Amino acid sequence: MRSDRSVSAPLGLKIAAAAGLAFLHIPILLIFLYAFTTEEKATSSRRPASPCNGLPSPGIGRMSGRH
Amino acid sequence: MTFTAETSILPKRAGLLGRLSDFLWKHPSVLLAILLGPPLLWLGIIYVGSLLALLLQSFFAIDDFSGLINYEFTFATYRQLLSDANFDIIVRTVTMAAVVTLFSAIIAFPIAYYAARYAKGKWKAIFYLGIMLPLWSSYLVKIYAWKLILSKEGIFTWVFEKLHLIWLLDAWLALPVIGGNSLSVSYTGTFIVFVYVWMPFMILPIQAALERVPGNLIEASSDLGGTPAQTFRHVLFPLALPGIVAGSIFTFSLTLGDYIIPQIIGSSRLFIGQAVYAQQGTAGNIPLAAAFTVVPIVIMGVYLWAAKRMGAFDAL
Repeated sequence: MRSDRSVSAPLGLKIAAAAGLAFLHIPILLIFLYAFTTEEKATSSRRPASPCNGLPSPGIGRMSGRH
Repeated sequence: MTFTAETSILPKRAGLLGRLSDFLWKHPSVLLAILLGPPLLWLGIIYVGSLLALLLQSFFAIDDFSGLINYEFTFATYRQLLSDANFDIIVRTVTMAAVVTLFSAIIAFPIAYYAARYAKGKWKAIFYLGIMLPLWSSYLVKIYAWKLILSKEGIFTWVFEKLHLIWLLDAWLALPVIGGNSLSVSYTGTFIVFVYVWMPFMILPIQAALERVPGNLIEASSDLGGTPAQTFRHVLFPLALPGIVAGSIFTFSLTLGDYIIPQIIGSSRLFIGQAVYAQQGTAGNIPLAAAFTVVPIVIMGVYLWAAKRMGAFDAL
């Protein structure tokens, strides 16, 4: 007689259960990792292409103390 | 021979506390009233009383000219509630709550089934902990975590870029209702976060229901030639249904009333909770806010009645 408890879970069920648990924990893990990120890295983002890209911008150098 | 207070075995106790104890022993109904009185008063006055006050407010209306509440019985606020813009809010919220409940059940079932039938010993404890742990972390922290994940410069977009599937994400975001500028300002984002936040409330009742399903029923189904799909459809699912309905009470009602998630992650289109917040706050229309809150109460009343008929409360 077959016993459901004696056999291991089907692979699909294992994957679905693991994926569900990962879905519950990944955001918490990410926010935990994010706490170790520096502010500079955290606020850097991809800026959209600008028609001024490639042109020298002396203002930025002055503001950051680099001349 | 009958025993009276005078002929009882124990002598009368001296002192105020002793006499009080003797009195309560002889009058259990008084003891019951003392024990049940405060919580019943709390429930009656604080909970039911405030609900009744809310219901009463919904039958008043605001004076359009002065902006003050006109304390005369009227259905004008309910007529206002059923105007196109407000009815859209109700339909939007109920649809979101229904979809969130459905997907929560679909995602929660395998987790609950694995935890109930296959996880043993320490793995069972790990599973319980794994399900409960997100409930112990701050609600706002979780939502802001998702804000970071779903934003245009977030991890989700980055993963899609790395997989060269950004076209798929863009196509999804271009869809009329569920799309938006980014996932964090779309219904899709709101839906993902609702499912994430309320899913543990779905897993636990389903798991409780599945734990009670006798293993020999599943074995019998297999022995009689039932395929796994047939066993699920004809044996497991009907027996787990009260647990699913019990879980859906949580996910459905919590989604109906939440206003923080759609405020942080979502478009500018309002949900019931946000409408209540706006009406009682900036708009100052308390009767309409009260009428809005009556909607989830009525919906949940009907839902709970149906759930009780299905035996869902046995799985709580």
